[in-house]
Amino acid sequence: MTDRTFGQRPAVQSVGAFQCPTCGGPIALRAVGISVTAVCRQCSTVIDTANPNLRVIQAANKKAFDTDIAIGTRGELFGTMWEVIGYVRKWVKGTVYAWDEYLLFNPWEGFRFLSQSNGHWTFFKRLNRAIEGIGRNTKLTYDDQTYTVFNKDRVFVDAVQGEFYWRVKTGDESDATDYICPPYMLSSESTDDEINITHGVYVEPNLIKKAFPYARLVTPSGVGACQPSPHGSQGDTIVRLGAIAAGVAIVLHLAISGGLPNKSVIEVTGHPIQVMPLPTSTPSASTQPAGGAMWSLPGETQTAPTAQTPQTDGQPVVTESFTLPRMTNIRLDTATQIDNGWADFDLTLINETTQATYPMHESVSYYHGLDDGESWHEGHNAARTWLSSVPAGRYHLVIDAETDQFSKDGQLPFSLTLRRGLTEWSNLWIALLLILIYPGIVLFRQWSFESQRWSNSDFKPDGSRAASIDSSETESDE
Amino acid sequence: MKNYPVIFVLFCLATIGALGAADMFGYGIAGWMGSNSARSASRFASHYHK
Repeated sequence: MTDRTFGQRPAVQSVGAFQCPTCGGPIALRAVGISVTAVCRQCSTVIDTANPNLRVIQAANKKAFDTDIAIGTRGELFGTMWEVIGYVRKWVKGTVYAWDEYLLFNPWEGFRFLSQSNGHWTFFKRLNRAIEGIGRNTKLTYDDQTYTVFNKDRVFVDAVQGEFYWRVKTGDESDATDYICPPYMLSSESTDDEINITHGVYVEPNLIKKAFPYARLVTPSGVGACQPSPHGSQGDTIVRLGAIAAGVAIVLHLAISGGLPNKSVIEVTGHPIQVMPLPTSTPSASTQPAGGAMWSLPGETQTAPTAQTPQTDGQPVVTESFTLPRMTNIRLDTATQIDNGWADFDLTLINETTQATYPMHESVSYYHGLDDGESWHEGHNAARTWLSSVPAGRYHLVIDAETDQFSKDGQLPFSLTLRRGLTEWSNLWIALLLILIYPGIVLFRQWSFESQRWSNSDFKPDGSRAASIDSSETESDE
Repeated sequence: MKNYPVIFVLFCLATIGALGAADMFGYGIAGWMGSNSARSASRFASHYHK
């Protein structure tokens, strides 16, 4: 490696204009005194312009094709006027992956390369120094930035046009390795006796169109190797802000919850509601046991609730008064001993000062049984109801019940607890959902973008070989 | 170009403010649903017992 040269420009004395030794066509050099290779536009013969006898490097007999950016076109990029003087099409051996490289020249600035792949453009400048590990390592550090290997291939020159300051001809082969740190790219091309390292930056296609308005530009497809993410820095900021906001929301919710009383205001236990059968039009109803009775005497058949089961209406229970010292939420938990039956509770919270009422409704139903030897059950014999933002004041609760079940003495045993100042966790979940939904979308779009980028690579973002490549290499090794 | 981070910060502040107010004054989805179910049950009952 040490005897390799790093892009020194050869000092040659090439001629400005001459005739092609093969077809006699006129050839005019643009980088006079620098270019050592020129390609005839008429017959595509590659000529050594540094040789006084204009030695033919590679004979050919075909007319040059039109490149997307015509040789000789001038355009301004990054504040400098560049002239396109050469074109090379390169191909990865054994694949369909190819790209174009245009050689740009400015007498004061020297040479640059403009590379196009799938409509994505990268502007390269040659580095005249070595970078430790390039071509071998999977990660590199250059200008305090970490570059990750993206492609490592054996490439060959598929077509050449224009003029070059190095010897080049169709069929030339080299080992190319690309490292990316979007929007930058480090690229090395090495042969047995030379290594060229270039540093590139992604160029938006609209800048190329502006610089070369008459060029036939390919519409970009997919994601370019070093294309910066459109959700880039703003996306990272939004994700960071989302994480901070989520943290603040959690802390705030926990802090407020810690200060909430979560206090039991009323507990009604062992206070059965007196429920009586409603009058029914069924003549036999009065002679039958009350439908849905929870307890029955020995020998007495307990009937399942049916359409004929008379509904019952309970006598309302009025709780003792209690005070809500400030606007708060309340929660009512009701439990019954319903068994294969139902009970409906109409609960009315009444403000004793304003007579404002807050109605609530709880339904309890619990059924179970055996079907084909398999036990089943549905429903619960307990219910829970929340009420939001009940104003401060003195209240009492009126409990009214209906059921299809009651004991022999016409009672519906139940228990009820009313609590105030409780934590509503759903508030936090909703806030977190609202806060994190946009960062989530941004992260998904970034992931999708990076997935597209790395789908064109033989490597993973951590620099390791992609699994499919590993397996194919393993298979080929075997 | 819209400054999305600033818009997002304002949105987050509004959301956190709403969370704080809801927690402080006892607002919440569960309570809202409880109130609604009671209202619809009483509407049904008043219609049913006409």
